[in-house]
Amino acid sequence: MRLPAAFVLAVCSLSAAEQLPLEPKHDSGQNVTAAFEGWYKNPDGTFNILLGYYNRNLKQDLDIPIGPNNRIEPGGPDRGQPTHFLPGRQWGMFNVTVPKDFGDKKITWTLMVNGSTTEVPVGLNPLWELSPFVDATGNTPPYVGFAETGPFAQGPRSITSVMTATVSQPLSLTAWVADDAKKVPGASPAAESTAAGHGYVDQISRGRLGDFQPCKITG
Amino acid sequence: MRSHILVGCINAGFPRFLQPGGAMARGTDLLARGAFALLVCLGVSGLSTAAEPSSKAPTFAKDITPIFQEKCQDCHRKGSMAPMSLITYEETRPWAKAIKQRVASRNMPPWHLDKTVGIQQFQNDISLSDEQISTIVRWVDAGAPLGDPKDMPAAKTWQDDNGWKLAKQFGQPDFVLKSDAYTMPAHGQDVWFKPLTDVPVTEPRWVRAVEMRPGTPAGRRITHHVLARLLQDEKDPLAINDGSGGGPGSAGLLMEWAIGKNYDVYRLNTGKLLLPGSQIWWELHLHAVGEEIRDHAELAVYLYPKGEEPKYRTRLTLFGAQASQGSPLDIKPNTISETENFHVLAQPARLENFQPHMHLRGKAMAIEAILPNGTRQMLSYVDHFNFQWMTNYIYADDAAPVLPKGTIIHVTAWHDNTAANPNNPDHDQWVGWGDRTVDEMAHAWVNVTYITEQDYQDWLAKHRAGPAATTQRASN
Repeated sequence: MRLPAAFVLAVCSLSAAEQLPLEPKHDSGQNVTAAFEGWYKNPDGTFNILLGYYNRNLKQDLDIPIGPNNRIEPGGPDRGQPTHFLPGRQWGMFNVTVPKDFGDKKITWTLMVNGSTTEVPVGLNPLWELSPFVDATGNTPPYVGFAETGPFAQGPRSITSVMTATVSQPLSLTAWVADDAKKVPGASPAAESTAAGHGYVDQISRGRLGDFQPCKITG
Repeated sequence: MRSHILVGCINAGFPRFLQPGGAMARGTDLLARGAFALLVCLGVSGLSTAAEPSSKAPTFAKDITPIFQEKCQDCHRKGSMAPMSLITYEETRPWAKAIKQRVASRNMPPWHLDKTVGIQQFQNDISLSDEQISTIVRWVDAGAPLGDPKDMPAAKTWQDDNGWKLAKQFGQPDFVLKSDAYTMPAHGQDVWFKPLTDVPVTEPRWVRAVEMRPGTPAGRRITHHVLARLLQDEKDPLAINDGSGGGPGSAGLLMEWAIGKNYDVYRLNTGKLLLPGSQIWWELHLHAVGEEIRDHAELAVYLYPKGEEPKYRTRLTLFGAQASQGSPLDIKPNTISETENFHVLAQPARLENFQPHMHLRGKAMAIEAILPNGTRQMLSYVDHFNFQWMTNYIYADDAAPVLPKGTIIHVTAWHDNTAANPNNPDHDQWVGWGDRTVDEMAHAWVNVTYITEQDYQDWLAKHRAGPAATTQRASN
């Protein structure tokens, strides 16, 4: 049986775009929305806008190629955003660098999937300013790199590496992770036990940056 | 004309998908909702037009000052937290129109509870009665006259703001704990400062009251909230409250401070337990306000006399409304969203208070008890939550709900992420759960006092009709 195109379109639109209040979470068939984490200033005066996303599906990974359905404008469509979306809330996935004179302009990330479109405009609203390199206790984020000798990135800044792979042959990715493991006065027992749960903290030498010996993670 | 009023009222409210019923239970049809809206409109309108020609308009000296002394001047006086004093006529008169607007909309005093549903007897009720609101509105509508100064009651004496509010009741605290200080820069991200402080007890001691505050008036401007988590070698499984985030060794929260919440006084024969070696693990959530401010937190502790052991132990418990799957909160841009969750009481218990906690898009929160027999009791509903006031609604002794083992505590929260919410910093953003002020939360802080089954049966025998103050309805 052939259904009129308009009818099919209407059904798709209702099933994917409209969610009722308190509707159960779905395994699949739902959309994904951009999540504005905030922004921070770079040493050269430019700004990084940090973005994540929320994939409303409990089980369905989504693949949305760069293009009309996954675009950041102006300056896009490709501004470094992901094309593969894991289920649930994924924090701080990438940065978009904007110039020092960006002012109150906005960039908008549009995502269309499963028949539903979300659009989130983001900018440099002062309430969303981030201080991602040290917290109130003096703690700092770990360093991550693709080689034992670096270079390393810290915090939400990204790092890239060019690798060569052969079709049908798995490529091992090795990351080197280090932390200064600074003992923060007043750090809670809960925080200590949580950190230990990651399993690699105890492999890292403790000391100033430059003295540490990164540990290797292969996956 | 009638339809015009209806539309205006509905637009002024918000979609109440599963709003607490009270007289208007779930399943109410649209027509009935419309009629209700009209009644509400007429009621509110009645407040503002009640200034019918009267031979005797209210005066500041005779009618208004007694109300302000009772409900307003504790904050509205020089040197206190409010931005203007309402002590003298000269200080008050310029604010008359604003006062009318704020009291008629029930935004001031900060008591944002719906008075038509649930428990209405509280220890700390600072709300105005309908009659008091009407008097203030009629006074403003009549031109805010002073009246005869001879009618003015004697000025009220207020305690020193540097003192503790509970000093009137308990005297000076047994000890005061102070956190380390933190300097909040003028600009930057929110900060969660988490120092540790030792508790000076060498033997188990019971707490009968606690009072907490930022260390300075300036500190109030940067302090979103302060948590005082109690870390100690806890053996009582009911005392280990995972919801407080304290982790292993935590006895949950000893106290939580937010604007509008200052102290907890535990009921007769009830308290919190401090063990030797315990520590306070503070969490000062601070936000930048455009100038550098340095401050700390202070916690005053009032103990039971040595050797006096209350029968019941109370635990500050987090009852979340956020979802258990996916993102805990999923607040779409330009929408009003709703979220709910459920918690089972492991023993019979008395709920001592209700303190909703949300951030800038917080709109409303309800707490309901679903009894094992299916009966539902709407305990409290804050229908116009205001982020600026994290008011703690402390039930009166005879009104605090006592609930059987297996009762489900149902918490529902509404967030307004539209341009109509004046606190909303950007209604085009998707908002999820998070610690920052620009993120959102949705939970109720409740002091839960677990009792024995025999205690519950005894209570039941005395209250056969059940807690009459709640709004009850049969299960669907």
